[in-house]
Amino acid sequence: MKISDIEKLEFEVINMAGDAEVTSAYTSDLLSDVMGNAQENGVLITIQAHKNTVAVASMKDMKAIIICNNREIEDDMLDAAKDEEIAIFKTKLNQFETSFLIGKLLNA
Amino acid sequence: MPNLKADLHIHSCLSTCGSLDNSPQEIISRAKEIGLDVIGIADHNCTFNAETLFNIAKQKGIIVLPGIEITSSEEAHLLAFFDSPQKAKKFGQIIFDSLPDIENQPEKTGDQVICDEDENIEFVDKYLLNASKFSFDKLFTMIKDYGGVFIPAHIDRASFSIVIQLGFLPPMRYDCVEITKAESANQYSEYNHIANSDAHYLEDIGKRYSIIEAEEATPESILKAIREGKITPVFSPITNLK
Ligand SMILES: [Zn+2]
Ligand SMILES: [Zn+2]
Repeated sequence: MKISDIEKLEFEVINMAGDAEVTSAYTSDLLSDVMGNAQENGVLITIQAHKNTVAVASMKDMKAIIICNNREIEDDMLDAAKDEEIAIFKTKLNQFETSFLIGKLLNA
Repeated sequence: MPNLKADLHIHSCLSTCGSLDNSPQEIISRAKEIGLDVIGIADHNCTFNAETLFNIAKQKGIIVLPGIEITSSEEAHLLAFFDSPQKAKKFGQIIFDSLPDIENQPEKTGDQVICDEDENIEFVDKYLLNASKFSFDKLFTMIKDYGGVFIPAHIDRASFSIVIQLGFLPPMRYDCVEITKAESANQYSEYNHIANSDAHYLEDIGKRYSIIEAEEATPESILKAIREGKITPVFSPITNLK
C-alpha cells in the first residue's frame, strides 16, 4: 500500500509528503513502545498529536502518522512533519477502527 | 527571609531538543544576567551536567538546585530536585540505567552533550527522551527515599503530562505541581503551584518563574520552602528579560 491509499480513506490530510510504499502499521499511544517495537516504512496510528510523535516516527523511519479521535494537532507537530517529510492524517475514527481499515489495505 | 527568584525547569545541552549554545557556562551567565537567584537543572532522564552547573554557579554567586526531569513508564514528565549534586548524580544514574538501550540518532534528534567546567565535551549515546521503566508511583517513593522533592511537570500541557497520559491527576502528596498558565491554578487548587520556563534554549530562561520564600539562600532551605508551599508562581517573563 502507498501513502496515497491512506488519503483515499477520506481522512483529513494535514501534511502530504511524497507517496512512499508503506509496508507495516503500528498502533500505540506510548511513544517508548513505538520506539521499541514499530517497524520501518510503517504508518503509526495514535492519539499523541505533538511533535515528539514525529521525532519517534522519524527515528523509526516511518512514513505516515494517523491521528485518531479528531485530536487537535499542535502547530509544531505540523512543522516537524514538514521538516522530516512524514505524512500526517487526522480522523474521527478511534485507534481500533483506523487499524481495521489500514489492516484491510495492507492485506489487499 | 530572602525572596528568591527561581526558574527550576531548565534544560542544558544534554536535552536533545536543545542546542549546543546552552552549555553550563552559558546557562549560568544568562541566569545571572536576567536576575535569577536560583535555577534548577532538569535534563531529561539524566544528571550528567548537574554537578558542573552546581560548581560554576557557586563561583558566580547563584544557586543551582541539581535535579532531573524523569519520563515515567506512563510517559509522564516529573521533576525531582535534591540538595546536593552527589545525590542528584547517584539518582540520575539509576534513572539513566533504567532507560531502554536505544541509541540516539544525532542527525535526527541532535547531540546529547556533557560539558565540564573547562568546556570539554562528551556525547551520550543512549537516547535520553525515552521512558524509564519506573512508574509514576514508584518514582514518588524512590525520590522521597532520596530526600528529594517530587513535582509533576507541566500538568496543564498536551504532551507528556501525567494528566494527559492518565486522564486525571492521581491524588498524591506532591511537594507542588508545575503549571504553565495562571488559569490552571483553580483546577488544581488542592496543591501548591510552581511556574518555570522549561527552557531548552537560552533565550527562554526566565520566561516563567517563581518567587520562593526561603529562610536562607541554600539548597536545603529552598527545598524546605518548596515542601512548605512558600512559592508564588509568576506567569510572565522576569523583568530583566529583554
Ligand atoms: Zn517535560
Ligand atoms: Zn522539560
